[in-house]
Amino acid sequence: MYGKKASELVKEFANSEPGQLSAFNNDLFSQVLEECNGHLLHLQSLLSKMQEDGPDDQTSKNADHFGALMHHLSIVRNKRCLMAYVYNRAEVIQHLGWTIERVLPEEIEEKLSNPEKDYFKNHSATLQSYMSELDLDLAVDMVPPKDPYIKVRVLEEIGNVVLSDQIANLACHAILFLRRTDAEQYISQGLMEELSS
Amino acid sequence: MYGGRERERERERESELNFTLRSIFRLERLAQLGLIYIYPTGEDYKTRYLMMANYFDIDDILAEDELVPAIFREATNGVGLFDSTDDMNKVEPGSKVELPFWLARELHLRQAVTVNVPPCFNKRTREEIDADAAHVDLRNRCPYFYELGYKIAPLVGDKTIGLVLLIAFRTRYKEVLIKAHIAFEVAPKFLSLLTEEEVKLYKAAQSSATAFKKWRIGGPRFQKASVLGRKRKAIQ
Repeated sequence: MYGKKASELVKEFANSEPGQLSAFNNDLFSQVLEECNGHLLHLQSLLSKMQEDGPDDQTSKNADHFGALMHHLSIVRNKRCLMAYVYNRAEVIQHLGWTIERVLPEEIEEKLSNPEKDYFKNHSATLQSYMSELDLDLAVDMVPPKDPYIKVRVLEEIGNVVLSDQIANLACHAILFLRRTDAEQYISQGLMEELSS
Repeated sequence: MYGGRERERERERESELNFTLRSIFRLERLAQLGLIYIYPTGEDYKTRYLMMANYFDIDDILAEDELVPAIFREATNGVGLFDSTDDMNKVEPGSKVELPFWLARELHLRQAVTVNVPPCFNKRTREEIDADAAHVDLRNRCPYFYELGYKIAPLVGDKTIGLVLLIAFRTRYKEVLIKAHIAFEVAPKFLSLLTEEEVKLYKAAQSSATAFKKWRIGGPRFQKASVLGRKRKAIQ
């Protein structure tokens, strides 16, 4: 059936959990494009046949017309599916720029296609330059803190880091008090966890 | 007296039309600028307006992929999709086929095929919904039950479909919300009865319930970005 592969592609996106990415399905994507080309060939041959037949043979002309229409509709449908696939993935990638800044972890990066990698790079660069222009980190928690310091546990070896108020040795398993703004990026990257008191 | 009321109604209708036209012009201007997409289908402007908003919507795309029964009214050349044994690549008028909705709608509007009511709105389903809507397995019949019903009703001109949808949704909505708010673990059997729309409702209700609980008890504000968390788990 026409448009089957395109909807498979969309279904694959729909089945991945919201906010998560599955690997870009290059294979299926190009298969759909190929299908589009096939439809275009059919469409062109039907259109030229309609012109050859001339205006007198009305019945076969109508049949050709509807055949051409079906191919046209299939192309439009395939286009919609491809666009939706790319667009919805781009939305997720954009969101990544807000939650994990600058560097993508390897296991996510390998799921992106090359244009998507560029998109992420450019998008997060734009975000960063906007924030540095404003001199304000827009990605921080929206709720004002009760206490500027929080207690955190380091989950992975980070080493000596210059923080805004101190130079801390962030060794594995260390429990320390840090400024919320300092700790936040490490927590969202999964290198620390917040301990509720 | 009679003439006055008539005139008033006329004026009302006119102002309504004016409003619609104005918003349509605005939309078309936006489309020219490339900010929105107007899906070129539907005869009246209202259906057009509704359609373009969902152009990238995954659920809308999948809902239109549902098969509906249709009968060809015209012969069609150059399409060999329904009967592969036919090497003429031709569909004869009168042949019965199942078409995906996106194809069936366009062909129906151009009077090439006649769309019939899909089996998920048959008499048996209606009787079951009348009896106990909350426990009908709608997912098995059509995972996009409401969306498909809403799209197909104007095509087949069946006014009772809307009523069926309303009754089914009203009863099931209540059931879904109660289950989501009270029980934190429901039987998976219950979830397997729900359509896509209802599953979304269920998840939304559940997440609001957990958010409320978290707010009341308190706890850490910061968490690892959810994108990262899942991936790590998968690798381990």
